Amino acid sequence: MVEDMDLKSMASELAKKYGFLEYMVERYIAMFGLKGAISFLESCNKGVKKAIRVNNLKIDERKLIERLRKKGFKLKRVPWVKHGYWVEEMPFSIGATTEYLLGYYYIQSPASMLAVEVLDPRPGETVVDMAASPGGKTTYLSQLMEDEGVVVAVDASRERMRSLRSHISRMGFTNVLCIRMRAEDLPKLGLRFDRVLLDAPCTGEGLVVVDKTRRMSRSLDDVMKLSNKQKRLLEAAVNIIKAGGIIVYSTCSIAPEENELVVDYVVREYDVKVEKVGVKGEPGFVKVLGYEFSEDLRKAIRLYPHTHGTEGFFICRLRA
Amino acid sequence: MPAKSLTFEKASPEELTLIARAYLEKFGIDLKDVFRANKVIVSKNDRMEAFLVSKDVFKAYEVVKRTREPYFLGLYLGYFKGSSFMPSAEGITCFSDRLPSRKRVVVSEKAEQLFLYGRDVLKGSIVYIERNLRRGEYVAIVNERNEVLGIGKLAVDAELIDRLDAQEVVIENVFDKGWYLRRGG
Repeated sequence: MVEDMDLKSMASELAKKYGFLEYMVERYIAMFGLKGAISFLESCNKGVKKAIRVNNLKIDERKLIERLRKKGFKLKRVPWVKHGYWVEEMPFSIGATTEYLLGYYYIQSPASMLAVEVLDPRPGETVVDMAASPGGKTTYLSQLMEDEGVVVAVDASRERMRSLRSHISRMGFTNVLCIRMRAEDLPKLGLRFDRVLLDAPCTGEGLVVVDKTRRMSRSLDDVMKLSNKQKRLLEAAVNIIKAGGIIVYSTCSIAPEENELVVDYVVREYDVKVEKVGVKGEPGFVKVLGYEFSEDLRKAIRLYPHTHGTEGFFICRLRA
Repeated sequence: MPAKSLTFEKASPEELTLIARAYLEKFGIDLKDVFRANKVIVSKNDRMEAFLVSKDVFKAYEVVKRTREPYFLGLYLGYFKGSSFMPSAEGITCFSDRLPSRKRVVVSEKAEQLFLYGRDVLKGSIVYIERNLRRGEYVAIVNERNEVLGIGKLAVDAELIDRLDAQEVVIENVFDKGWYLRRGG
């Protein structure tokens, strides 16, 4: 009881200090331990570096880095993704260069790149991006598929579709078929996919490191509402995957309700299995905040600002 | 008036001819073999646009089409304007290896930035231009690395260029890739 009180007052103090809602900090302490929670909160105040993904189908990677270096940009390879570079220094916006306009790179977080790499799409396959805008992951799917096969890119918003089209055109990919629709309705399309990427709409709690407003704006009720939507979306993914196909479920949230809880539900209800992600990250939770998930959830990975220098992110690979 | 909803159809033989002729006459690019190996889809709403799609994308399109209209697909080739067709910068970029040198105007590094901000091309910005280009002709604007920056239209006969001041406009900006930043989202 005394310990609970201490933790509660500690959480309250940390919440004030770092500008978070108290319930969030209480959860971080439960998820990471006190030391880990402080380390996470501290890293949130430092922010994360921007990163770019080189479009190696359009330009030789070294040539691009050299061109940007001559313009005053300092870039450093992200060792755990294939085409990613941290932007260490920039004399002006990295999104305002000729090279950007020519489609030689995309400004993208390495965590997002990793989700696509975990899906491992191959040239000639039929792949779907269930929440495609603004196009970072869609264009990376095309890139890894060497612009062959088909990427079906789905998003419900007309406004976001414009931005998706613009990025695909700028990057010069031609194997994309964009459809404005609710991803939940994908099973009605009649297409079956070799691979499905579901980077699900989420509270964006992992983005607290880049967007301070998210530290005070999301309630547990929001988390639960989204968790239910995510379950529906992942069910749709299961219904459109070919036998033996791969689904990657990811979010930029660190809430277990939006991640392990969603995957755990689908694994119990449908004939899909969690596979090892095969890259380094913190393991998914199996017992946290009063929940108990399948042991297989350990195979999922979590990325955090204090461990990977990225926004908080969750990636899980499933095989049908 | 609300915009018409998007519908897509396979290009008719007349539309294909129009597209092929526009690429050839405006930019000297022959797409006959490309059209044999791929399909062309046309969107039918307020603005009619054409898209080049591979056989794989076309197969997926045919399945989707049973219940939905796509929003965008393949390579954006350009748009129809009355009885003519205007090729896109995306199409010109994709087939830039087929662009004859006559249809490339090379601009300096400084002019590259200005063009990408939406400005016209001034005489002083031009590094290379063929003198037989006529007023009203379309050209690809490329930088000194031969990378396509956009599309321009001659404002004067190129043979008259020596008579112009460095600050005078030689090529009007039709489309530049700065659009992706300014308007693309």
